[in-house]
Amino acid sequence: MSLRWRLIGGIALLLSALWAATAVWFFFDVRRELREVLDARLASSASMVQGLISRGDLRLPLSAAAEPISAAASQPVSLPTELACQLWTLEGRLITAARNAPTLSASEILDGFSNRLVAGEPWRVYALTDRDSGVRIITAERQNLRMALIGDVAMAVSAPFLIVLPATILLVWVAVRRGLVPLERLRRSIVSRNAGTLDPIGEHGVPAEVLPLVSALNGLFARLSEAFERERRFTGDAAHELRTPLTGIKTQLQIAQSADGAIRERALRQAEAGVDRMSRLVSQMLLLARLETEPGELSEPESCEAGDELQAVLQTLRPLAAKREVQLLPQNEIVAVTVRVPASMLHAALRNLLENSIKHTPPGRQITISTELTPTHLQLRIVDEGPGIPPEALARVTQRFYRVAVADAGTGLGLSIVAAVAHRYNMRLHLENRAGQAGLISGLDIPWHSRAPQP
Amino acid sequence: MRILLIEDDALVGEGIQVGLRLQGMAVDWLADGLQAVTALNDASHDAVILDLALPRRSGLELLRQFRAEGHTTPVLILTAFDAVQDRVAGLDAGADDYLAKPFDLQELGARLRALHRRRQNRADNTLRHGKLTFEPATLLATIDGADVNLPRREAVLLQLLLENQGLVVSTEQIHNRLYGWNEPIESNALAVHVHNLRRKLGRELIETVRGVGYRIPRETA
Repeated sequence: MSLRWRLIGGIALLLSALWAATAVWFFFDVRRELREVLDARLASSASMVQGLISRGDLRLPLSAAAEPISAAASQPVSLPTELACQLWTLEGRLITAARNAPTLSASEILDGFSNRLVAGEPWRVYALTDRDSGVRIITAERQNLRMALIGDVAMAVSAPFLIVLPATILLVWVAVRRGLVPLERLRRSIVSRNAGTLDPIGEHGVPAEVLPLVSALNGLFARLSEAFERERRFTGDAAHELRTPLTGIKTQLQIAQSADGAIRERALRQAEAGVDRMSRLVSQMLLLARLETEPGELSEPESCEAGDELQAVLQTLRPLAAKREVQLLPQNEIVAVTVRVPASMLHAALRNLLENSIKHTPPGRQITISTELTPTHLQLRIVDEGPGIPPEALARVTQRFYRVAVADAGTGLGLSIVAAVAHRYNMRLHLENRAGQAGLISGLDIPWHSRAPQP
Repeated sequence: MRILLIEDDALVGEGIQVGLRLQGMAVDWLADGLQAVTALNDASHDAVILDLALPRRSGLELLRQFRAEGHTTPVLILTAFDAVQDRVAGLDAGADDYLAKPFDLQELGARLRALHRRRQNRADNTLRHGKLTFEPATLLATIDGADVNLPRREAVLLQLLLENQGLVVSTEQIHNRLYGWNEPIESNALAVHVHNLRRKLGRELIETVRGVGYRIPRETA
């Protein structure tokens, strides 16, 4: 439901309820006030008569036998219209009464205010007893006149509410519209953006309530841009790197087409080798791409047994080592530890490290693989007798597609993969040249999680 | 033609070397930019193929240095980056032509022949002498329209002599052109090749210049 209509509807409803409650309260209050005023009028009229009597301005025949004085004969008591007044003796004998006075029997009426039904009409009656003067003064007023008066006044008071309420709602509508203008502006600026753009939304002039939202969006845009840029760079690098093996395969196939015999045979074999190399490159690039994905997207468990993976890697690479006449020498039994790295990632990292050493070690030499367990880390070290890495190249060697020497037949991605896995899973990658002799010490410090119980 | 190839990838390098050899060119292949500097200074090549993505020495830098030293040998650059600005950068650094990877071997050969033709100020590929025509692209010789079958080395020798009509081509130059660095030179083979050419194309075609080399005389009007 639109924010604007929620606001307007809510405010209108609240206001209406409030105003209605106020009007009702007002009404009852006014009515009560009016009643009190009218009652006070009744009472003060009676007091006024009492005052007149006690001052002697009004002579009253107090003998029992005297006739009731007609209003014309006696001093006309000027009273406000609609008020009826009667004078009675204490014994209950009517002394005088105004023309419009109702027929009441004084003895029934107690002092003070009361409501009486006389000839079917409700009257408000006030009685005052003056023992000194020996009279009872009774003033009365028709209720329906009262009601009419009260009704008129109440109406007069409430009517403005009824007029003002729709006006208020209209003003609320206008105010809400104006108040939501910054939001409208924001909406228009977003709508007018280029569909594909990831530029940040301007935060200038954005209301404070929406600012966190806009900031969060901008943060998201920035992360997305970065991710796209990384991917663009990666696919760019990859495409270029792929062109070289593709060229090799194409030229070899063209040779195979225009030659025959031994040349042709060799060209076809070379083309196949090129395809193998290229598919290895593609696998490595896919692995690197996987490493860039957000955690939680991998479909395998997040931990594995380090010892098992190392054994698997040794198993896989023994044929290669044998072919190159390089000896693989594991130095010690690996304690069974669980590490928080997915099996395939650890396998890839270990494999690339060991493969790197195997490829660079001259025939007849050996590679030692050792592990050491500290309270926090599993330290794996691979020591070879190859040429090592020139100091100036050490910093760059984990860059993608970087090759130290021309003779490197690899893809250039091996160490980048190890570095990426290490970074992603909180491992430390070690690369240093041996002191005193040629060779490289490469290794990983892997934080371990738990170990199998010792036998 | 004798080509110097500077290419670090084994598969591509071998492919170019074998492929161009099939088209009658001798190819000297270097995998390292540093080694290339020395080789380039020796001006015995008709053209250079340079792969820009070399480890340890940028191909463009190499090219600039080569040109700065005054060498005019035509250079064709190979690269995986074929955006316009890379092409412009390569050509402005001194390259004579540009080919993106992956490329067609035939196209590579044709462009090299074009560079060579331009260098020798010839209008087209075809070499002529009297009734003899020779097509370097196909290594085909014809006399009066009739095809003459020539094995590769003889064809290349004929091409060299025809390209230098009226000039003496020394034995050393012939050796340089016919044989790359890694090919063994049979000392008597040259005489045999000349003999065969004379047999197939006419005795008067090739003159022997004693102690120096051979020559195809310029055509008389």
